[in-house]
Amino acid sequence: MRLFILVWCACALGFMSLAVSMHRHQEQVFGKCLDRVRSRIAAAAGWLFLFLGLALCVRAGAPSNMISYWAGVLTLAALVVGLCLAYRARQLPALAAIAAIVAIAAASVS
Amino acid sequence: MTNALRTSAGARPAAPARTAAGGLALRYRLAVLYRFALALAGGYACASVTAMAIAAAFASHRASAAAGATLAAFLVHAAAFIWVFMVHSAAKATAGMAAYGLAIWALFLYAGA
Amino acid sequence: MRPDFKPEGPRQAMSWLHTWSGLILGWLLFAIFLTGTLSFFHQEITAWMKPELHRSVPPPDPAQQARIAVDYLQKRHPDAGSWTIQLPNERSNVTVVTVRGQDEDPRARRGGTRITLDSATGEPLASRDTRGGAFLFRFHFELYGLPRIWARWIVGVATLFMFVAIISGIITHKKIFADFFTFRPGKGQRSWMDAHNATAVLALPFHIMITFSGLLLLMFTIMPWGVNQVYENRLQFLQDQARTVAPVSQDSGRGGARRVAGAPAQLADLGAIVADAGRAWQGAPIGSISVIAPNTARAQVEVRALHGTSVAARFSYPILRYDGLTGARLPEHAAAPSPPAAVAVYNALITLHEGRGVDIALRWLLFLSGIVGSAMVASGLVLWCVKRLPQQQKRGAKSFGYRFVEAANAAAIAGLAIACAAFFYANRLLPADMAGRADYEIHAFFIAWLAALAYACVRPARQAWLGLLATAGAAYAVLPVLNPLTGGRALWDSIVLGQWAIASFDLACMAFAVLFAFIFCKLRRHGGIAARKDARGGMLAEEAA
Repeated sequence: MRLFILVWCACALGFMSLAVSMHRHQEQVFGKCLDRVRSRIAAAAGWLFLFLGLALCVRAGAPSNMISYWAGVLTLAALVVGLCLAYRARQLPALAAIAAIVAIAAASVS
Repeated sequence: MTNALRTSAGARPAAPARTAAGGLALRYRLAVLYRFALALAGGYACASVTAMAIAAAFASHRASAAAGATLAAFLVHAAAFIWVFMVHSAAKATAGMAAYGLAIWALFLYAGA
Repeated sequence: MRPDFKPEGPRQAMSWLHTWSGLILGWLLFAIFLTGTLSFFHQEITAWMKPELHRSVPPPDPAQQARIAVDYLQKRHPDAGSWTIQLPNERSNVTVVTVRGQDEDPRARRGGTRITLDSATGEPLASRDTRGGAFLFRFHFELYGLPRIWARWIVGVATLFMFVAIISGIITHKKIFADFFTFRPGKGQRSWMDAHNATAVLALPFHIMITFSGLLLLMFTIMPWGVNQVYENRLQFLQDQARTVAPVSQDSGRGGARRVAGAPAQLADLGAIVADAGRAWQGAPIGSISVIAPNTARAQVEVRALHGTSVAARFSYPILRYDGLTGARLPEHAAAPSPPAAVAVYNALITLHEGRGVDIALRWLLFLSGIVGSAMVASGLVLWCVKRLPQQQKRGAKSFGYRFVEAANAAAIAGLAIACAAFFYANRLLPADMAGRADYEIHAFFIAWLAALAYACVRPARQAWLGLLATAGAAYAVLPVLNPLTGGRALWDSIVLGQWAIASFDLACMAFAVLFAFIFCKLRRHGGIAARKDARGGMLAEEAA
């Protein structure tokens, strides 16, 4: 369960970052477009978080199993982020904060 | 005048799209049927011959040969299916499949069936 | 392919191919996809459908579970050739023992006498005759009522069409990254397109895997030429495949018929062996225990883990062997070499497809991805109708083809959900001792499906969908209530007692009921596409209702 929470939060944060690196979603979330530097940082952070999720997975078991696990968690994370963008775009930063807090809490409970 | 006669390179003059009654022309329906049949049957033939050729070529590593051959065969069938609908001319689609099939069949015979 | 045969670009060509390869067999594909998704939990479905087994509440300690099973076996089958004990786990609340005779192969996958035991008391439990989840599992690749080979070919062709639809869909989807999170609700055709794109792209690796591996699983029927080129028959291939992952074995001579019964001797304490295995595997759950030649001098005990080593190594499970008299752990065999690349890819694909030996977390993720995939097929079918509704309305009356697709959509999608519910209702409402009840449960499935089709044909599309969705929602909402009323374990009890196989079925029913209710409410509020165009006056009366 702990692994799932950590990986899901990492993937969700990754997708949220990737989403706000695009103009279309920046307008949805912030009401305005961000400058190019911020967009690039968001994209880089996004990919970093996704691969952090992958790294957490692969450490936890047989590679072929855990890569499949990561792909499955990606789907669930993308679904939640997509629905948030569609129905509650302004609350995306709040969702990101929650995900970050939950991840840190899960990581500290060893 | 010349505009009306000019068609895109390699294309037949445009056929009437619909019959007088408003349904799709029989010629169109037959053409679609032919493409699907070619994609299914011709693609299957290409895939099967690919499977046999790859399995024969790597027959010394039996399990790998069988698994690899079948993996490749399904990819070939799917690719052939897509290709049949990508090309504009049905004749080109038929010729291409036949050429591939014969070439791989030749390879299969060479690999020592 | 354009009706006027003009040349078109690759994206347009692929868009056409995607529409038709998806539509022609789309209803069958939805049925395959949904029943396949449910099959990830076929064990849990079967557990729910055998309420006589719900009384079994396993003790938490695997060692005790093993001792209880052994007590029964010592009393009833002390002279067996081998025992196999499948311990209860996250997917099963009962203990299943298999007893084999002196000359039967203890490691065979079939054969022997299976007895289901109450995990706490060790008493044998009899359950009603039902196909259970196995019906849905078999249906999804062999359908029902057709000769096997025909059914496999039909499913194989459908799978190929699905694979082609996926590839053509990817080619035709221009902005696959830019549109990744795009979902615009409340915009009619655009929303349906967004939904179809989202459900397709968000689980795309799964869709590709499940479809391609579906083809591979049918390969002995539809593409045997590779295997037949280098092997005599499929059995040899399967043996070779198993050999690529089997650990190097010193005592491979311990096959069935060659064993000679040894002198009587006392069997070691299985509980201690199980506890040792649990410590060695650091808590990874134990799947089964095999006792070969029990109560003799040649007794050996094999403990097998519940979860496989890796999906790339098919049928390979961690195994620990013990001396049957002293209970001492025997030295482990040298680890198996990794399978060669082509075999590993093949193994991984088909093992993931079947969910064989995967742990419960990955199983739920596969199931979720399957639900997303079913939604992808369903939204595609509905999108076809939504896209063409304006031009159908202009014609005045709907064409036969359009009407056919409309009715088939409702019957295939909502109707299948109702059919599954009917299967579960029949399981509980038909008398437990009725002759041939397993077949009648299946008949109920098909009768309900046909009734849904009839309803969808006679009612206008919107009414048909509303009626079928309401029926499905109500049916699944009542099912968890029906469970305890017909001899099963109620949801609150099964959660408290940790019988998750039974609880997850009831919880899933409730989730599906909420889903159908949600869709029903959305559709009723929406009022139909034509209702927005009444200023233009081109409205069909039925759409306004």
